[in-house]
Amino acid sequence: MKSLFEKIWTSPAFVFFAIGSGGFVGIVFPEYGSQLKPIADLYLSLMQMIILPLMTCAIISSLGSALLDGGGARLLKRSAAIFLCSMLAGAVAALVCGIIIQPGVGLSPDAQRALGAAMLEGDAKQGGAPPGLWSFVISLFPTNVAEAASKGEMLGVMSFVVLVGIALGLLKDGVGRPVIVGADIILQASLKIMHWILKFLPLGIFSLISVNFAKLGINTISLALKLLITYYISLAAMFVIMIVLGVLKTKKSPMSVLKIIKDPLVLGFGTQSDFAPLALAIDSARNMGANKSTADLVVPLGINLSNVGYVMYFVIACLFVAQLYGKAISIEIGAIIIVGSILVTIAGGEVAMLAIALGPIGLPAEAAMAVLAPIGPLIQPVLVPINILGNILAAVYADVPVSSSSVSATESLKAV
Amino acid sequence: MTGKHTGIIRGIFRAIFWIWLSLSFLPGNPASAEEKYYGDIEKIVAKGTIVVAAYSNDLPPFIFKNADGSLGGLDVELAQDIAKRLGVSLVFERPTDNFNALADLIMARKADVIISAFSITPKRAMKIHFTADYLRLHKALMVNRLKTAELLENSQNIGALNKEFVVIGANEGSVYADLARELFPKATIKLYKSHRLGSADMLAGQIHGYLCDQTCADSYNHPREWHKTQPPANWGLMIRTITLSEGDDPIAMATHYDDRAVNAWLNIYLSQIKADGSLERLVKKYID
Repeated sequence: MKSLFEKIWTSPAFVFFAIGSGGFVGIVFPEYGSQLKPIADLYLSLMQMIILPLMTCAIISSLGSALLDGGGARLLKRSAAIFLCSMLAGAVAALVCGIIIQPGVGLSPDAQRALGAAMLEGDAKQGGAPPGLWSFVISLFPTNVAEAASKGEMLGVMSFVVLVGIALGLLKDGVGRPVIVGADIILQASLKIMHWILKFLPLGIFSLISVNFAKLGINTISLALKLLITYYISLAAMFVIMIVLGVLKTKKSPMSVLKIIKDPLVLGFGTQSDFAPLALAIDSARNMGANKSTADLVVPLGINLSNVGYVMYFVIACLFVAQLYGKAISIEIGAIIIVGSILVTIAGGEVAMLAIALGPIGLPAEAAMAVLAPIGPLIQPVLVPINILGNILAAVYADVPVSSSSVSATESLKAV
Repeated sequence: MTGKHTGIIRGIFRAIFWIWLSLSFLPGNPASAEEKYYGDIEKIVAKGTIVVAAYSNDLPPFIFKNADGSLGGLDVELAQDIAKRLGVSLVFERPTDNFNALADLIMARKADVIISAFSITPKRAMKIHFTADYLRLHKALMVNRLKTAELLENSQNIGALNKEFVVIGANEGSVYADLARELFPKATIKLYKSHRLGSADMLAGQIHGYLCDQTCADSYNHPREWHKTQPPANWGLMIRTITLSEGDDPIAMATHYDDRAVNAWLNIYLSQIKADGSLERLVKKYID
């Protein structure tokens, strides 16, 4: 029986109260907000501590057991197709919003000067070439996995554990099964630790949000207000579309879908980290009806590779730059922007890499960097929940209706 | 000794005193009128003026006209200080907008010294005698962002601009005209009489880039009170500055090869203002 305190502490309303009060403290009393940084840092470290074992074990156990029991290849293909479709949908939605609202048209001379000054400042700081697509390919295969993990280079770690999971699943006579089961057990232990950490969610969210809001520079907003509005409208539209897709697939009411996805989205909003809400996102995907191994595989892969929010972020930034320089958006240019933004997202989402999309259409990527630097922090908290929701849905839609793959690795070991 | 003799001696002393007093009030010469200096320095002191050769157009922050019509700038202040220390008046000789032609003025004895953001080059040193450098300027390439976005892709790899269809501008007769030919042998090099004309063409997209020193780029990127024309609102949006990593542009004064004493004196002067920090203060005032 929960005590009254526990009931209030764990209620959704209290989490929203923590968000609201954190935002209030951060904006109205920024000096107090920034003093909460040690608590915010501690909470974030606790979260991040568990991400590496959680992600690696989730991928190894789910991929390994899916391959052992058949349907693994199909699941991977299906996930890849769904990742591409979801990013494409996000890109098109962003493109449509950007073309309608036209954030880069009619900038005042003052705004032009401010943006120009920021670009000149960026030019002076810049050294060496920005990361290109090839550097992404190289980062996929780190020479030292432990080093990549310690540096937080998740893409390299991910490609390694995907290979390990596939290899374990393909070993003859299922000899890989004990390791796959072991990974599943560590995954469950990691999830347990994560749930202990989440007991302090309201406190963590309150401190994280007050620290983040204390850092925001409100004066930069006026320069790119139209751009901000474009972002918020397109992301809100995407959120609605995703909820509808969730309702259609699960046959649940919108309210109950929202209830299932609430926790990871709130955590994503508060931490501004795609990885911190990983455990909760896996939980939500399972609760939405995805079977265990699909959720365990698709959500971690998606968080690394397929983030709808970032695709939209880059598409609108490219459109802003194109409109700023008076470039008409032809079908060809629209396609280059969409493909470029998806590539940059898969490659880890660095704004400097937008030269991949903007260079071929003769536009300077520096402009995107200069405009996103000040307003990025205002958009990031909204982007992350869209990324997470996109990946939860990807898991739900990727589910392969094969009975054997719905049995978890641990259960199948028991059967043996 | 009689009183008469005492009076004569007193008179002589009085006369000596008045002569000394009147001599010491003679204008111009810090020492006695009799003091002689070495060869070519003596020539300048004797004619009472030093003629400084400089670029004819405004060249902020080195030489430019103030609102009241007077000259200002880093090189102007240096020239004024030199004239003051030599005890002579200062005359500027500014007949040309071609840097290389300044050397010919010295050869033809139409000026005593060049003080005009003048770069040291081996070719120029075949005509004139450089002092030690008093400034090292970064070399910079300003580029039209739209014209070069596809070629540079946000990198600083300026080698990507070495293409037949690329046009690079530079100031005619400056070291940057030669540097442009050296860095972009395949490109077309367009020479301009002034930075103003070149930068206007670049802003309009007529040329891809314009090669100059960093102070020229800064005069547009971060205009100061002595830059009379403010760049348009879209300057930063349209123009990017890439500071070249290889090699600075050394700036020095230069004299006739026969004027060895003047050259040696200028070197001592430069080492002194470097040592006492006054050169650094001057550079800070105009450049940093």
